[in-house]
Amino acid sequence: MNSKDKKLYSLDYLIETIGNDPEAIKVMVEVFLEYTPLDLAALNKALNEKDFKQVAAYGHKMKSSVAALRVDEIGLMLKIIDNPEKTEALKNNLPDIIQRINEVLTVVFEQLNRDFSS
Amino acid sequence: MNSFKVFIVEDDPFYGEMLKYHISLNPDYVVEKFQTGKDFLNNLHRKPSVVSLDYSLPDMSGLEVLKKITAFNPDIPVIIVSGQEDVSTAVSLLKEGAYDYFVKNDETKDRIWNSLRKIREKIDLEKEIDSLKEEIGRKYIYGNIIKGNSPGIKRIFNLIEKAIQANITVSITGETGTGKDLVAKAIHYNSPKANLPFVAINVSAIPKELIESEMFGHEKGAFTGAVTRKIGKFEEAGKGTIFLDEIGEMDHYMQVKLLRVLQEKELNRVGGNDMVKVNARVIVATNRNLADEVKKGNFRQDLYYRLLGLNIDLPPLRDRGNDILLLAKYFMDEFSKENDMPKRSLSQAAQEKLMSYDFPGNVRELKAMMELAVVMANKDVIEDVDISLNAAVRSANFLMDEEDTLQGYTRKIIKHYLEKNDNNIIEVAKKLDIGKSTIYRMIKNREL
Repeated sequence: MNSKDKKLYSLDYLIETIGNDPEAIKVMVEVFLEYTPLDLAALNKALNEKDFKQVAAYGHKMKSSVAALRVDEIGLMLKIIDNPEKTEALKNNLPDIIQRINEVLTVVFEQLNRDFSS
Repeated sequence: MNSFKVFIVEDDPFYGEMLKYHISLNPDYVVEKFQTGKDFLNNLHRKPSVVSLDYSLPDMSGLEVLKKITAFNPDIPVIIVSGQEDVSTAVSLLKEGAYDYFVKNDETKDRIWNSLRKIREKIDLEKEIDSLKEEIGRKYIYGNIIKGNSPGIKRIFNLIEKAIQANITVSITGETGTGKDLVAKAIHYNSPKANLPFVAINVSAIPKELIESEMFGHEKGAFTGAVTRKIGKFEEAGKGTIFLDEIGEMDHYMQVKLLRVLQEKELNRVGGNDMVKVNARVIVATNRNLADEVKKGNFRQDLYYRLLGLNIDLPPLRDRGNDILLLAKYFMDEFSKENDMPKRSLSQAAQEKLMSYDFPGNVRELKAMMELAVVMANKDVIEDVDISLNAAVRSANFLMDEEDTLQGYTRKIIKHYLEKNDNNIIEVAKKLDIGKSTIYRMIKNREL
């Protein structure tokens, strides 16, 4: 099973938190799909500019939403880049880490768009 | 009822929306969210009940926002919800006045929920306390609790007004049942200290061995049974009022201790070394004649003068003339209202019976008497037979206390009628069938 077939997110925590209200869940997914790509783009830009402070700022900002949607594959990655000291120390590994974040989130966006297309 | 407004300040739109949905699950909460510190601060004037604040905001730090909230209103509880797991950040925010600090994780939702519930309960409790304080304030508007039109009681109103205006020690004297405690409360709850504590202590009701600890507190281990530190009534009163009832019953040892506290304006808890400042206003009451007690050596003269301050000497009910009927009617109406009973009136015979009684138990006795009369009466009109007197009526004994001359008895009779009739000379002359000039002459000659 490749990563495109395997569901990379889960709504369990979200339902537990806001209740099993399909309308509310849909709104939450829309918010995620609207804003997370913007944060991801800003993260990529910060990496290209070697602005480690901004890398950490966007890593920090994204980690809570990603954790709430149980995108576990990159949850820990965002957590280890969420402060400037850590991103500076990991600067040689950052391109790989952020590439993986991009790959996983791209799949999550596709899956969410598909699952909530109606 | 005001709504419970929760403002969420969160730069992550997804997390902010999730919190909003979560908190809105309680229909009593009105939730709004803001993505920047600036946007939130522009809305701070709308007075949120509580703020959920993300530590990392795009335009300013959570600490800066917290300081601005505290400067605006330190009573707004702020819950920090942050991705920062750094303990020192949490500590510094809590030191700055944050109500709580949560790291964003799976347990956040439950913690916020509990925290909001606790804050809500605290706010509700504070509102309840405020409303009770207001109610007490209304209850102790002195015109509402001390009824009467007699010259004696009007003089008391005048003194209470002076006691309200000046932060002076007040001594309240008067027979048992004249309402000394009500006067103390009326002074406190109508004074600028109304929102501060009113702490009453009945000196005669506390065993001699405990009174020092009760008044001044004790340190842990000060004596057997002192398992924790306990603050005393003086400390409990803070900058409010301490009311020492039955002060005449205080023993010599405590008189010395009290005098020192009043002179030094500080106290030592029993078994303690630290001095504690005393800021409370002191009101004392007694049914004894303290000047006599000083002469007899039962009460220290220096303490007497320190406590005397403004003296309010409450007249006995028997000297308050028509106040007896006014109060009787008031107590009947109040009791009927409280117990859903029809209003009663007093027959002429019942009024005369009341007016001729001595009331050794004063207002307290009259109240009990009238409540019983309301219960006992079979009709809407209370008759003299419905009123049970506890002692002999005054007409049988007030003249015969001691032997006197005819002139002396005449003087006593006229004086008694003047007191009963609010010093209305024309009325008294009519009732006694004498010329009013006789009364004027006796007043002029200082015979009355």
